[in-house]
Amino acid sequence: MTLALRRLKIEHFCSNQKSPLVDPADAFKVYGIVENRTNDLVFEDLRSLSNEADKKSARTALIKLLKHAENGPPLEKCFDSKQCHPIHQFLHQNDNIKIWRLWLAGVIRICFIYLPSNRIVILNILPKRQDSITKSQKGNLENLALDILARDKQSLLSVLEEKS
Amino acid sequence: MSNQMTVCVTENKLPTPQDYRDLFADIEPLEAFDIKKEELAAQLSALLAHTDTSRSEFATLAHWKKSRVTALLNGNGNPTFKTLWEFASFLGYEADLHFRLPSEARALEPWNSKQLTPNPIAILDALSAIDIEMQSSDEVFHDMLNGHDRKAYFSIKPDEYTCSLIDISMPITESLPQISQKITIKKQYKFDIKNI
Repeated sequence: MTLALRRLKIEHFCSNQKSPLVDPADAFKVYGIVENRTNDLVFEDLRSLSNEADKKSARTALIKLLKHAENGPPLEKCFDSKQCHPIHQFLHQNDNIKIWRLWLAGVIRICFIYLPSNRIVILNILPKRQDSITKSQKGNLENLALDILARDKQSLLSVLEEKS
Repeated sequence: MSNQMTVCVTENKLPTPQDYRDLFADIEPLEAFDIKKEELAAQLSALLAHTDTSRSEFATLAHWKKSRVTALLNGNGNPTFKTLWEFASFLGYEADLHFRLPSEARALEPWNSKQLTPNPIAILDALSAIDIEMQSSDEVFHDMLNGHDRKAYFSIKPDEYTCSLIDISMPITESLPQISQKITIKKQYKFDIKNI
């Protein structure tokens, strides 16, 4: 299975907006994961949302995430700890890897990791119906994060784009 | 990611931005002003982070209710310019109103380093490129070794403000570091970030 990144932009959520042609050097860029060059995981997570409230919540949360990322400070500095906190941590090659969870609107939670060069990679977008995530959900997130980190280290992560 | 990226013209089957927007077709559409409000809230949060001030500390400093700070930073409501000015003043900053054309970059803020990085994807869009994919030099090398060359390659050097249509001719026995020796520039676009 191949994994690639796809940059998420404001025009994915709002037709009357365009990404800036220049970014401040310290801005964060937000990416989703694409499996086998066709399976866009963010798109699939959003497609699986069944009710209107969840969809509204997801759209608002993603716009907030993109707009805060454009500014540069790491997200955990821009939100309080209830809104943005590590949901899972593990040691990998002497690095403490943190998977962050963002809760910005309604029930939707966005899990992400940081990659070097100011990149944010969304691991999943899910409605939170319970207080904590299960052991198997943590395991799945950890495996996906490890896969992304390993491929990035070996320069095996390409960035896919499609013209708007 | 290095500053030099190779972008190749390709065709892929990813959902388009319109496909994304269609997922939300059955809910109320967003106005441009809704996005602007989120942008403003993000700027206020960034200023707070830049001054190393927590929301609670700010509420104490400004004698504001914590709920007022939260509402402002969450982009709720429609704050007056007086509120924005007070927010900046309590943190030791001025608040100004800037105007710009939609195609121009936003002014740099105190928390930004004094540098702009052109967004290669947007630049290629502006250059009317078709579907594109960004690849590392390793990936270009391996694709070429396996006979999966793309229709065209562009090399972006944001630091030099250039985007070049390049020709890579490489015998498959060559190793990666030698690729750069084999690149010839067919056409170079010099761009000025203000004019795109």
